[in-house]
Amino acid sequence: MPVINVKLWDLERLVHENLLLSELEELLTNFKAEVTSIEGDDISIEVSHDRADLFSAEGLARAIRFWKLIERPKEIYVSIYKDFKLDITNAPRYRPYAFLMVVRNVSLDDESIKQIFQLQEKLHMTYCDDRRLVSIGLYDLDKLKPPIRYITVPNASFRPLDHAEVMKLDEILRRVDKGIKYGHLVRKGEYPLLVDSAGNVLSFPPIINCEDNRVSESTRNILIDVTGTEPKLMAKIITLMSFNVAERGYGKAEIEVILTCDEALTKTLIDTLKYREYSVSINDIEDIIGVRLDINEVSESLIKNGYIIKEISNSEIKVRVPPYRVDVIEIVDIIEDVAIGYGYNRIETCTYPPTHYGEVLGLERFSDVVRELIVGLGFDEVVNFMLIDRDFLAMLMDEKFIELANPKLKSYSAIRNSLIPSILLSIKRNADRYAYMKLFEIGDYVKIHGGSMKIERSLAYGIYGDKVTLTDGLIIMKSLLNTLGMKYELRETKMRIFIEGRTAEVLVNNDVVGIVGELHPGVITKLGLSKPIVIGELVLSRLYSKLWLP
Amino acid sequence: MRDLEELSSKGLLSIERVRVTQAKITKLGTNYLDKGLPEERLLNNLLRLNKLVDIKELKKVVNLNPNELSAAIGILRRLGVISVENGKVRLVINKIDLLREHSSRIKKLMERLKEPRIVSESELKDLRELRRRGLLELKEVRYIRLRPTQKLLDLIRRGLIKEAKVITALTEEIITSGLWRDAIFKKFDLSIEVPTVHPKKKHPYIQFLNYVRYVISNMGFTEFKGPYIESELWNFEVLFVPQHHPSRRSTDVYFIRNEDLNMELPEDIIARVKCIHEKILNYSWDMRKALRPILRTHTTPVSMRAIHELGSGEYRVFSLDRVFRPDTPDPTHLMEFHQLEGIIVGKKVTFKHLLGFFKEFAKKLGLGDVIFKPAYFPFTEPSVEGYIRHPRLGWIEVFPGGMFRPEVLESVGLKGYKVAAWGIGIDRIAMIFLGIDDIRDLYTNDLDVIKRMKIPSKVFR
Repeated sequence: MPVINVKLWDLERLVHENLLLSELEELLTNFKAEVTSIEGDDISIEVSHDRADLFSAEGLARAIRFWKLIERPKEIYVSIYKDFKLDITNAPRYRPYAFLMVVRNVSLDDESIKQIFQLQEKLHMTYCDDRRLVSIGLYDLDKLKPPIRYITVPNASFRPLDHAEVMKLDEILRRVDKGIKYGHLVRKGEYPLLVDSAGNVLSFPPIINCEDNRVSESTRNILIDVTGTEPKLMAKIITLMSFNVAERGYGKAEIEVILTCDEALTKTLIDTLKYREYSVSINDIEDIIGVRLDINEVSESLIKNGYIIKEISNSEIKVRVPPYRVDVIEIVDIIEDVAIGYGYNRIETCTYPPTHYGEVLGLERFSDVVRELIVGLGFDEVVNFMLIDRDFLAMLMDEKFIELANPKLKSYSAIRNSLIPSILLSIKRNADRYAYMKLFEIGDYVKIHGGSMKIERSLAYGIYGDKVTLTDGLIIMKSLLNTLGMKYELRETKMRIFIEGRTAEVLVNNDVVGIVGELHPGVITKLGLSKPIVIGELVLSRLYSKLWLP
Repeated sequence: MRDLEELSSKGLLSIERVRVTQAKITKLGTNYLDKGLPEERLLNNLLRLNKLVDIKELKKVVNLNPNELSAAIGILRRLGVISVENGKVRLVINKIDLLREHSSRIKKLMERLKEPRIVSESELKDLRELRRRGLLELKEVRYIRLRPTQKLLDLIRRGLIKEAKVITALTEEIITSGLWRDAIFKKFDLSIEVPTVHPKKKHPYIQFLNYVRYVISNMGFTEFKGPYIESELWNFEVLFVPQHHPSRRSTDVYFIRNEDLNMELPEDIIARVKCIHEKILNYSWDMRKALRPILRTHTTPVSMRAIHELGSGEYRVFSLDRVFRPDTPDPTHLMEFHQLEGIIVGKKVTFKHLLGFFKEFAKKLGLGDVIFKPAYFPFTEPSVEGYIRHPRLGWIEVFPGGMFRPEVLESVGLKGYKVAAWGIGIDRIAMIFLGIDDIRDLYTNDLDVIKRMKIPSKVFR
C-alpha cells in the first residue's frame, strides 16, 4: 500500500479546522488509511490502494471535511476550454493517446507543490504501472502559447527539468536519470513530444518535462496532461489529478477540459468527468450487509463519504458519485461506504447456519493416523519448508524440480520433489548435539512428470547413529504397513544417494509406494556428517489411493 | 541413590563424591615380570658373550624387538653399565650392580600393581617411568563416600534406629513369597527431583494446525485443496486484480523458471475474465501473462476453484495450507507460511454473517473479543480487518475478509448467490497459542526447540 507524507499544518489549512492527532488517527480508519509515523508536523500515512483520491493532502483533507460535516458535498462543474482542441493525429502509434485539462486560480507554496508532485508520483507508481500505461505532466499554463499538439519527432532539443543546459532527446535518454530509467518506453527516432504553437516543448513523455514552464509558487493556472496507451485509465488519472489540484484554489479554482480532435476519445474523458448516478435501496443494503438501516442513517453515511444526495424516498436514495472516486465501480462499493459510515462495530452480527456437516480431507486424517503410528515407534516430528536450496536438492535427487526465477535467498530457491532432502537437512541441523536420532516429517512435495506437476503427500523418516543399517529402516516400514493392514513386497533397486545392494523399493499391489535405503558414505561426508543414516520414504497419497483395493 | 539422597536430606548421612586414580600394570608389564626386563635380558646376553660385541650382531643374538633393544641399550648406557664405541658395545663389569638395583626397584613397583590399586598423587610421581614405558594403565574412579552423621550416631546410641524389612522396589519374588506381609514400604520423598525424559511427539505446530482443522470442520466447513503452483489467472485475474497491479510485481510474487509446464486452460473462465478486465478495469488484457505459472501468494484461488467446481448451492468450504511470498525470514516474516481460507456460499449470506463468523471462531479458539475496521482487498467489497487483543502487543490484525465482489463471482460463473470469504494468517494465532515470539520456530527441525515447546493447553479447553 502507498505511504504518503503530509504536514499537519497543511492538512489543517485544507480542512479549515485544527486536528488532534488522536482524532486524525481515528478518522483515517474510516478511509482504510493508517498513520505509520509522526515526527513533529510530518505525518506518514499508509493509504489504501483503491482510494487513489487520498494519495495526497488535498484528497485527504476533502474526505475529512465531508466526514466531519464541515462541508456538504456538492458538484464541481468542469467547463470546456474553448480556444483549441488537442491534436493527436501525429502522435506515436505505440503511445497514441493524450488528454489535457486546466485548473485555474490556484495559489501554491512549497508544500502544496510537494503534495501535487507526490500525487503524480504515487499514481505513476501504482495505477500507471511506473509510467508504462500512463504518464502525467504538469505545467504553468501562462508560460505556454496554445494550441498544444501531441506529436512524433525524430529528435528535438529542450532544457530538461532541473537542468541548466539544452539537450537533444537522444542525449536526455543517455545522460539524464529519468531518461536512463524510462528510455525503454520510447522508440528511437519516434519520440513523443508535447509542443505549443510557438514550438516550445512542454515535455518529452513519459520521460521528462521542460524546465522553462515548470510549476512554481507563482503559478496561478496549471495545465495537466496524460499520455499513454489506455484511454479509460488515462481519463481516470487526469480526473484524479485535476480534482485534487483544484483543492489548491481553496474554493476559487475552476476546472476546464481541453477537447481532443478524436471524438470517441473525448467522449471517454467527458464520461469519466461526470458525476455518475446510482440508486441505492434499503433492500440492496440489507442484502449485502444484513442489517436494515433507516433511510436517514443511510443518507447521513453517504454524505459523510462525499456522495451527493439527489433524491430521497422512504426506501431508496439517488446519489451522485464524484468522478475522483475511481474506486466506485458497482453498487456494492457504495454499500461498503454506507456500512463504514454506519460503523462496522455497530453492526449486529450473527452466524449463518450451516446446511451440511463439516469434514476434514481424508488424506489429512490418514496422515494423522500415520503420524501417530510413527511417533509410537519412537520418532520425533520435524517441520521443514517446501522451499529448499536448489543445489542441495540437485545434489541428492535426480528428478526434475520446480525452480524459482526470483528467489530472495539461495536457501529457498526450489520446491522440494521428495521429503528425503528435508529429513537430511533436519539430521544435519541436530547432529552437533545428538549422537542418535529418529526423525520424521509428513508433508507435501511437487514432482514434475511429462511437463505436468503433481503434488504428493509423503512421509519420510531417518535414523541416524552408529551401526544403523537397512534393517532398522525396514523394521519401521514393516511395522507401519502391517499395522495399516497393507500387504507389501520389497524389491531391490538403485538410487544415487543410497548404497548399492542396500536399497529397497516398497510395492503395494505392484505399484511403488516407497523406498528405504542406507545413505552412501560419500553422501554422508558431503553433508558434513560422520554417522550412518538410513532413510525411508512412503508416499501417503499413493498409499491412500490403494486403501480400498481388495 | 534415591535412598541415600533421602537419608542425606534427613541429615542422617553425609555424602561425599570422590575421584581417585587407579593403577594397574599392562599386559606388557606382566610379560616383563615373567621374562625379565629388556635391559636385564640384554645384560645377561652380554655377560654370556663376554666380549666387545657389534650392535648389529647383538640384534641377531638378543631376543628383543628393535624398540626394546634400543631402549635397553639406552638404559644400560645411562647407568654406565656399558659404553658404546664405533658401533661396538663394551661391558663395564664393576657397574653391573647398578643395573641389578635398577631392575629390582622397577620390578618391585610392578609387583605391587599386578592387581588394580588406588594410588596417591605422590605415588604417581614414582610411577612416571612405568607409565612412559607403557607398563602402566591409569583409570579415573569415582565413588561416593558415606559417613554417618553425629545425628545418626546419637539416634543409634539412644536406640531409636531399629532394623526393619523395608521394601523400596517390589519384585515378583517379594510378591509371590509373601515377604511383603512383614515388610514396610519405604515412603517416597516427593521433594526429590526425578530424572527428565522427553516424550516423542507430534510437532507442536502440527498439533495446532490439527486443532484448527477440528474447530473449523466442527463449524460446518468442508476441507478443499488446490495446487501450490498456480497460473496468474487463478491467483489474480479471477480475483479482479489487474495485470499491472503492484501486488503482482516480482518483489511480491515468486515466479518460476520452468517454462515448459502444462498449465490448464479453463476456457469459460478465460473468456469471462478477459471481458471483465477489459470492460471494467480498462486495459488490454494479455492471456500469455495470465497463464504464467507462479507460486500461489494466497489460498483464495483454492476458494475460487471450489466455487467453480461446486457451483450454486448453500455450502461452506475451508483450506488450511501453505502460500509463498518473496521475503527474507526474520522473527515476524517468512517466505512460506500457512493460511486458513474459508468461504460461506449462500443466497442470504451477508456481511454481518462474516463478522459473526469471526467472532464465533475467535470464541472457539479462546481469543476473546474481536473489533472490526474497514479494509481493502481487490476481490471483496465490503472488506474488513478483524483485530484481537494480544497478551503483550495490544490489538493485532488477524481476520481479513469480505464479501466477494460481483465481478469475482461472475468470473467463476456463480449467479444468484453471495459469498463471504476470509483468508487468515493462521501463524500469528499459532504463535499466541504456542507462546513463541519468533515465527521461524513454527517451521522448525531443531529438536531442542521442539522439546522446549509445550503442547498448547488451549487445545484442550
